[in-house]
Amino acid sequence: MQYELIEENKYTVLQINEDRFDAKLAPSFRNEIDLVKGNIAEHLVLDLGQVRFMDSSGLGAVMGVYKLLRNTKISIVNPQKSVQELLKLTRIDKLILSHATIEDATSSK
Amino acid sequence: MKTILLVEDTKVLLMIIKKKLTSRGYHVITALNGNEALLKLQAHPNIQMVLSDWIMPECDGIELCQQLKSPHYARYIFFVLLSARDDQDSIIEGINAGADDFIAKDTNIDELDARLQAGFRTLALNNELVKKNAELDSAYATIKQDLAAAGEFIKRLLPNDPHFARAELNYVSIPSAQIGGDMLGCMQLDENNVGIYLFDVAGHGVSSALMSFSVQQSISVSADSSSLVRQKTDKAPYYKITSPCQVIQQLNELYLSQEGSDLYFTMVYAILNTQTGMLSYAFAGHPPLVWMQNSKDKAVFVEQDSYVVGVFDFAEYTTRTIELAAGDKIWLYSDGITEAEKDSHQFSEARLKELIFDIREQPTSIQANTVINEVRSWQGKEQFDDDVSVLVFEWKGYPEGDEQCNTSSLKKTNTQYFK
Repeated sequence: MQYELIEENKYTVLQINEDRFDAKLAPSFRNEIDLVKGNIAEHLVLDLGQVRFMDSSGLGAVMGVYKLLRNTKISIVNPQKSVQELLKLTRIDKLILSHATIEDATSSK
Repeated sequence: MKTILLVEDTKVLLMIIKKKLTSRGYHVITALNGNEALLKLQAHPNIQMVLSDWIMPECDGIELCQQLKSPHYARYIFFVLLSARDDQDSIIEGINAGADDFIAKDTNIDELDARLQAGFRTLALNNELVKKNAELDSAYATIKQDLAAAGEFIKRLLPNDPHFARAELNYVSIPSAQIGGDMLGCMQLDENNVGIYLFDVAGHGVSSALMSFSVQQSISVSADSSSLVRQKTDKAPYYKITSPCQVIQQLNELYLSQEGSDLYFTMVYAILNTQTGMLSYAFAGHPPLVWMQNSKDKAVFVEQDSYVVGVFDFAEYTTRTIELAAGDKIWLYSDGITEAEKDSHQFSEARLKELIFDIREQPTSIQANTVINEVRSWQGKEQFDDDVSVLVFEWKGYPEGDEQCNTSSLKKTNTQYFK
């Protein structure tokens, strides 16, 4: 998985630099989350700006993170239209709020 | 004991080398030329080490080596060429013919022994690999056979020639591998009500298929016992049809995933009243269904944002109702259809709706196939990357002569529904 990890005091940004968030990517995404979960301060920001397509396995991985990090705030940044629609269809948009930029996500309450 | 085939046309030399090797504990079989060597190899299937002279009458060392190293020779042979010291040309020729090592004829027995030991180590490694490969092949064949059997079994769970009064149904369901996570079905809940559903377990491997099989069992209805979709009661008519949102709610409780498992499914569950054309339905994170309104000559999406099944314990679902007109059709499908790709473009829900509209004049009985074939030709290949399922059902309208009375009673129910 191509990604970038930015660790700040109050938040951690995981930027997924992949075109497709699908069954092939989901396992390495899960591994990465397992590695960083101990270091996430208060807020995990998933930057999905590069992701053009998310399939049911990708969605499963995102829901898995939501359940795993029960006490951590999670945000999604810059989802493309198809990803946004999938999040809305499955009501994940009610559980994990989306923002236009990392700044918006980290300054919102 | 380690066996060596020694090939040498000079009898004296043959005896000397044989004696040396025997003294080091090797079992030595001899041949005077290449042809005899081939016969000896045939008679002793355990020989894998050949120590051969270079120049011999009839079939020489190089020719023998070429034959033994050809892909047609079924046995793996470690081939050591006996040569004169400093005979560079024959060494190069030997390498080209596939020889594994070279030993000068006057080499002392310690070095000869060491080289042969090295050769036997290579043979042992090779034999171990061959054995492991054979085990893997046979395990893979077993799994493939099991999956094929499971695939056949799951196929049999699909509705078999479904016929309902005043409703017609047609479907296609194709797993992307031997077994998949898509499942669909329909059942007569009572005289007037038909349950219709389609669900899609995330992923398409064995675990998805097992979950799909299990969910199918949970939904299935049997005549005299209570089930998820129809419960027994104490009063006449002694049963109660479970509403679509309750069916999904109960499935969610049944299939709530354990920590660490990402298995879940999306679903549409609908109940069609074949007397009135009222269709009640509930979604669970499933893509919109398409309502082909033949009466109004248009196709519309019917959607409901909702949680998937099996992930969140707090998920709640809602039943909604629409009223079909005679000849209207409802299309259910899994995302394998709309996510079919060509040049990183997806077939898309919009294109599916258009296609459904374009083929609206076709009889229901062949329409699911038409859609599958259209998507195949659009993507330019036969095989789908994901499980694909399409199900269409048509409501044929009121029973003859009943129309008037049913319509008036319906209007009342209708107003109540939307209040």
